[in-house]
Amino acid sequence: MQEIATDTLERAGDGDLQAFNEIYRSSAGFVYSIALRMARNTADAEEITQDVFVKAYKNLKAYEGRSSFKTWIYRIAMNTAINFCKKRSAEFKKRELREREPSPGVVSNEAEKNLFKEDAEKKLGELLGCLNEDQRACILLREIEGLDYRQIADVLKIELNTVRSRLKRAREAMIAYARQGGVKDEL
Amino acid sequence: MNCDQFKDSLLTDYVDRVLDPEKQKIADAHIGQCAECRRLIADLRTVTAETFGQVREIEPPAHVWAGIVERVQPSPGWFEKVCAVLTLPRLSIAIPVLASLMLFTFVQLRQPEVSYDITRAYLSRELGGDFGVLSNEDLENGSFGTVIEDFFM
Ligand SMILES: [Zn+2]
Repeated sequence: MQEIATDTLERAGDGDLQAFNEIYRSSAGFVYSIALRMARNTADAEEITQDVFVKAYKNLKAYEGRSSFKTWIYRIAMNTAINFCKKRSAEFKKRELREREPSPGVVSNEAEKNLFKEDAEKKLGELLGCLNEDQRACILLREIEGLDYRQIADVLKIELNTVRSRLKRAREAMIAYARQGGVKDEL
Repeated sequence: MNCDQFKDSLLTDYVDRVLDPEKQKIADAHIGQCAECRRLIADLRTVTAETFGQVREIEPPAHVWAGIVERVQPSPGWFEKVCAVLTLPRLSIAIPVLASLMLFTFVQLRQPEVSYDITRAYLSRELGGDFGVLSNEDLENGSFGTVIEDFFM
């Protein structure tokens, strides 16, 4: 994702939808990918993506370039995705208690199977499935977005040591899953 | 340093290559003499490369933008809704035609038998003053000056 020109941000902040579309086109891929890997199904990812951009549009005036736009949109995207997924998990848990359905941690529905039919996405989906939302967010920002610990802490507004411990737990869970033979041909 | 201490305090930073030189030395010393941790690090690097190395950015479908536009554009008020209805191609012709027809019929039905001059003279006498020019009183009352004009305006 490239940085957005200040002029474009100002025009979009004033309600210029064409300028906002420029912002959307430069960051939609990143936001949607994050949403997809956090939610692990396309319908939820689309909803999260829309929520992120509606929030961004409504708050562009308040943003005023205080941090880099990239960090700002990362923050909205991650927080929206984490909250959405936590809410979804809670709903599933409630229903599971009532109906004993499989939890969303297991790739189960058609949309998810479709999404992860590609080999790389399949492996990623399976491994992300054994992490909680907070760990998933940290590992995605670290391994896919290439953010360092300080940047991750900044995006998620958490302590540096919390970033470290979430990454540690995420990697422990991933290695345990891979060693159990969860991801074929992995190790 | 034993394995648990290494895993707890240094492994994460070691894998991300962010250890300071002093801690790096300690980590290297442990790894140098611990086959289990060497294997763990190798496995972690393999899993990470295999899992994250080949993923690419995915663009959202086109309807996602359409949904955003729908949500950020202010919803039309009653005036905009009425305007939208009035500008429908058929209605934009039908409504003025219908309105003119109704007005014409109405005027025809209300047309008095007497001529304009007689009406004028009659009203001048009844109401007093110069009929046709608004008096100060009319202006203050916001009326149009005559019974007929008041009715039609
Ligand atoms: Zn060891």
